[in-house]
Amino acid sequence: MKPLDAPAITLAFDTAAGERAEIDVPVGPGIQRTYWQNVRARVSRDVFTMLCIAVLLVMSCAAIMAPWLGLDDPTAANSANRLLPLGSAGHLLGTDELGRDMLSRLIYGGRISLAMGVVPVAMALLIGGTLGLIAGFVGGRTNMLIMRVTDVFYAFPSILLAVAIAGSLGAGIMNTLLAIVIVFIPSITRVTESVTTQVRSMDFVEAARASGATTSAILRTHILGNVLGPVLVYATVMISISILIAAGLSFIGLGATPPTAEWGLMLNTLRESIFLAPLNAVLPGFMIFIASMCFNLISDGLRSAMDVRF
Amino acid sequence: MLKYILRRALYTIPIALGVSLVVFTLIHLAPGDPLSAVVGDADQKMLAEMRASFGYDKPLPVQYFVWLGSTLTGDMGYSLRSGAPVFPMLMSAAKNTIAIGIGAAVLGFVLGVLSGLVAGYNHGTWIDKAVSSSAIAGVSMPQYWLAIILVIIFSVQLGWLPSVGSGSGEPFWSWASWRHMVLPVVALAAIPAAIVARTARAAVMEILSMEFVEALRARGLSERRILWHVARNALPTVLAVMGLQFAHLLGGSILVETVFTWPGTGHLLNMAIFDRDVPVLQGTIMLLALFFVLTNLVVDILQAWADPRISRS
Repeated sequence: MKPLDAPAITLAFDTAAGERAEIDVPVGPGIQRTYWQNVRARVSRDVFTMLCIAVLLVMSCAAIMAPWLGLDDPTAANSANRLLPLGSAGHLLGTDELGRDMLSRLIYGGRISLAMGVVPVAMALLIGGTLGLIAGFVGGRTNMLIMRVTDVFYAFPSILLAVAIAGSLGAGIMNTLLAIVIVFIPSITRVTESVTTQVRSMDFVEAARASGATTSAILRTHILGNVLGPVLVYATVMISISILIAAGLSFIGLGATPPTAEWGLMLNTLRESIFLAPLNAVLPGFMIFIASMCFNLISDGLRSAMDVRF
Repeated sequence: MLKYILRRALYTIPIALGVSLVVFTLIHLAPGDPLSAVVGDADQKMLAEMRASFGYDKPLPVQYFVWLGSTLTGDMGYSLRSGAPVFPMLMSAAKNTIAIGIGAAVLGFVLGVLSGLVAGYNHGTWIDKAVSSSAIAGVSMPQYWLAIILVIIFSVQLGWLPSVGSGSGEPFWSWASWRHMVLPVVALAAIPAAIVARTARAAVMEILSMEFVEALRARGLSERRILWHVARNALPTVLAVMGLQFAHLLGGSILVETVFTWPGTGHLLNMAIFDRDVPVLQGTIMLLALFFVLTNLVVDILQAWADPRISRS
């Protein structure tokens, strides 16, 4: 018998092999693995993905432990030490336009910037996922209502909608969070709804129902088990987009407010220093770039490990 | 086919109405009166008079329908900041944004299609790997960061190109005016180029695995002729993606326009936000969103035209 958490759909949908399918796990008569164990085994053999996970782990650990790393105060200005170059004594990555230590600000900045990648996506997953499950599982008029409202929000380019919401609510990190959550809900609703609708009409769900499975059991094991893979791949890409949008909003003055250390805001305030200290001015953007790229690469790795296609 | 186009076009109307409702609600969600932010601590009588003249004293549903009605007739009110009519302001900004938007779309499209074709055709080689990793870098790169790097290299260090503005009244068809567009165009083109390259690569790989390619080879066609067939088959998918990217480009140019103070819709939107200039804000967001909706419509219709199976489903 098949283990319960084996999403049959990945087999049903597997019309073409994933791009990095050559990373295969040994299968033999003695080896019995569940689907998720297989995914984990494939991911752990994917050097690129593991490297990205390591980079992100280091970045987030540093951000979380920032107060205990013995760094300079990220908001303490010192006009005598303005725009020191990289590699200066006591300031490994130099200082910014107000003489604040860049290393400290970049590490502290990761707290907001990385959180603004993960938190909005998690919230949007919760809300959009629920809406999509309801729309797909209930169908009929409920589906119509939810999906038509989704269509309207989908009719905005994502950055425009985020700027419009954050711009109306005013600057501040909470408003940025809210703006990004609203931007992401429609696309997550769409993905969840389409997968749910497809799964719902499959024979094995029919069979489960016929053999007396309750609605909540069907939802839990069959629908959720099958939706999880595609949504997880999608969510990792969204984290990367979320980081870019959040930093972008701060960059145009709608997100974090000075003197907070945040990568987008740092990039903005250092913009006037590109003549004197171009390397310092570029650093915060480099952090945004690396974080965003790592999430993108992890998503690619997950996609091929799970054989998700959508 | 005609029925599909009609149905698809009609569906645009409720979407556009929904968009207008969202835009209106968003802007009126903001705390405080739009006028008091502009006028400041003016005397209450004057404020009340101005409120009445702008129609802000009426209930919100009434305001919505009044705004919708006048917007439909091309009258978008007057800027609270400068008093200038909004519609001409929007049009001249849109012209500037479309100028760099088209430049970026063409550059991104050509770069993306070429590199995607080559990468897909040479699947697994170092060329493929180079293109794929540049494409990943392209979608992960913050456009505003790329813009700053371009300014540092080409304006600050080399001094070849201007870093701000759109020039001072040179004729449009001249290098003096065009050199202002080079850096914004390149910064904007990175994302579409990367996305088109990924799409083209995937499409080419899929088509190469089809049987008709085998048949062409069996008939003894040269590899160049085969590549031509493959490219032609990949085109509809790539074009659709490019269409959507163009719409995204215009909506997303706000960040790049901020770096270059390029006088387009993004710059206008940015200023309207910080001035709390409600009529300009509403007009700009509405225009950009409507453009996005229409582009989606055109892309869907073109796709149905290229692939009749879509309209039958």
